[in-house]
Amino acid sequence: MTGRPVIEVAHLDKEFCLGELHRGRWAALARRLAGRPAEAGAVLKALDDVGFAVAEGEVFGIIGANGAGKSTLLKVLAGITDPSSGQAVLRGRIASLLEVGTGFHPELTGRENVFLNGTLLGLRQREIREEYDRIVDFAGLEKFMDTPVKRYSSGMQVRLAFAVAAHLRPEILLIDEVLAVGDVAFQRKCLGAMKDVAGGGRTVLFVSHNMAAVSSLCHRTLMLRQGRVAALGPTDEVIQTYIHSTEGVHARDEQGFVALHERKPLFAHSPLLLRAARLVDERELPVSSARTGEPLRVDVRVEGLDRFPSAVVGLTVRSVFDQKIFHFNTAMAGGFGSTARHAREIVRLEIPELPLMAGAYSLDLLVFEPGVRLLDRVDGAAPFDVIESDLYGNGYRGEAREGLIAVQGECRIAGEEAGA
Amino acid sequence: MSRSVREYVRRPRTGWFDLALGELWEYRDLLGALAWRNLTVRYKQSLLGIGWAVLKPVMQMIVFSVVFGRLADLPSDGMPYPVFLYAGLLPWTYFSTTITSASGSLLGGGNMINKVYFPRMILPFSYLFTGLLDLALAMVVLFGMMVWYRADMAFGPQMLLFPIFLVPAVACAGGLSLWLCALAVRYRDVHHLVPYLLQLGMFATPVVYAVQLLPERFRWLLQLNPMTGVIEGFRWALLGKPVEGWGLLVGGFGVALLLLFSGMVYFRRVERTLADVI
Repeated sequence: MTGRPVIEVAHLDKEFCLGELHRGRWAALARRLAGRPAEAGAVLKALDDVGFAVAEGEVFGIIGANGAGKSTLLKVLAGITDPSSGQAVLRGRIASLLEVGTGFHPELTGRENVFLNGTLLGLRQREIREEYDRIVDFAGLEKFMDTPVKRYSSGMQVRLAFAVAAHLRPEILLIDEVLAVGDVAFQRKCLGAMKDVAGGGRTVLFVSHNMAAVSSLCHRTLMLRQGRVAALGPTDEVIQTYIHSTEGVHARDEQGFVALHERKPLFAHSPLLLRAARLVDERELPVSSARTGEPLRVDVRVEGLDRFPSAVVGLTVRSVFDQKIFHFNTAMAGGFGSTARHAREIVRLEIPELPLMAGAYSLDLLVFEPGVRLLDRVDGAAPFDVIESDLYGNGYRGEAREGLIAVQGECRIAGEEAGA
Repeated sequence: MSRSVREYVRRPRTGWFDLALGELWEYRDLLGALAWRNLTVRYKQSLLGIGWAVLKPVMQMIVFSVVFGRLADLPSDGMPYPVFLYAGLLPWTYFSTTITSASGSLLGGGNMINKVYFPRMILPFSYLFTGLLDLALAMVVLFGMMVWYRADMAFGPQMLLFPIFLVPAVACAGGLSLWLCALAVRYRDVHHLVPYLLQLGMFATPVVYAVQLLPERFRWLLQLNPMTGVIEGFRWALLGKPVEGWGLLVGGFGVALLLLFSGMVYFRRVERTLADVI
């Protein structure tokens, strides 16, 4: 241990010029030829006076909403782009994993791509040859190494790419959202590999939206908001700050519905669409929260149910760690029998006693024909808060930190132990 | 850990002449891997595969022999026109294919540039080596033709000198590629312009004709063109054709080095904001 931080960042700024590159180019050229300074265009500050230090062996998380500057920060640290001012010092060999599979060429075989990707990440040919068997083994693709990568499934490509990256042996590893891809088993393997890296005295910077991964891997975490450091400290505290800062971002219509399909529909030309959703309280007024032990009412605006009378509308509640907590749907509630369906209707799902502790949650909505197919799905359709209530009648207020599910129970003294 | 720790500092870059050659050397294996990628990708899923590296210049030689040798009856300094032409066509094909592919290499490599750090100069430079492999293959045909036309050829030890003349060719192609691919990042117009510049360049270089075609007082201009030196050198080493004005050919080499150096300086300048612009 040198005692000096492995990563030291001070007063780091990064500005981007907005607007199209060549707009007014001839005019600008004329100005320059005339000896006048170029016009200053609109500027976006992607990083604004960012500073922090990371010690050797630390796993350091970086979180923040989209556009907060996380990726820009990693790009500056990786040397992909220069800062506008300030500086960052990194001590040790760096490997950046901003996107797995970068530089993979579809026409080349798995083997050729391992060498191309490895050298791209800064390895020597000799080092790759030494590690080659372990890389193939980790990826579990022995049989496919002489097949062009274009015939791989996307999961296989990710496995191969991560396998190369996991064998880089850098002293500093910069990772951006690699866990967003691949199946669950492979994600677990990647987390394990990252833990090995961290355990080996290496320093890891980990950018992610996956709070569960950040929370289980990172000792300390930095939260960025609009390019500035919004919080820095122990991971759990920073995650709490982050959760409380992400409320109230969705636009609602006059009935309190949040539109769902401004995003791309799941299937092109889908005849059935989840249009909008809202939470309502007992007076039928739109709300953004529910209370522990009290009803949760969700209204879903669906289009096209007349064409799929047997379709089931359901919701899945997730924690901030993206864990599914429970699922409930219209079939569980007994369905609608032979009632005629409409082209546009509002389906109400109601859970009379919400068994969730106070905290932040989100809703996934989906429509499917049981045993046939998925018709539409919107993940993270509605974020909502569960607010503590006096569920236990004695003023005890439970929180999601203690456990997500609110249960009722009783206690009594079951006997007396003989004194020692 | 006993080995020394490398320190990387990220700060706004200033200055003009930091060419970072050491870093280029550290990434030499990537240069090899990319050159190999360029080569294999180009010929994947084609029936003749690498045969195209030979076939393309041969077909061009046949066409030009008919048009310029037979129909236009251009001077070839007393040599059989096809051999004379092919010996010039080889370095020129190297030069033009390298520039064509290298000038688009930064735009084509956008995904890599945005996601990984590596010395960006490696992207255009990798095509310099890909082209050399093509050239080596096409040389085989030239040797075949030399045997066929043996009567007129001067076989001798100077034949071993021909690789020397590749040095200015590589320098010149490298320099121009750096300029063009760096310019292409800001001005996509380059992409449209390059084919015409190369066509023009071919006629400004004694590829299909001998230097003697030009009046004496203009020849010095031709000989400042670095590719003139390359082609004349090829013909001298392989075909025994006498060279006039060695001094000016050296001048051409100087021009090539100047292009390379200025290209590197300009490229390093563009490299700073590359990931933001591309």
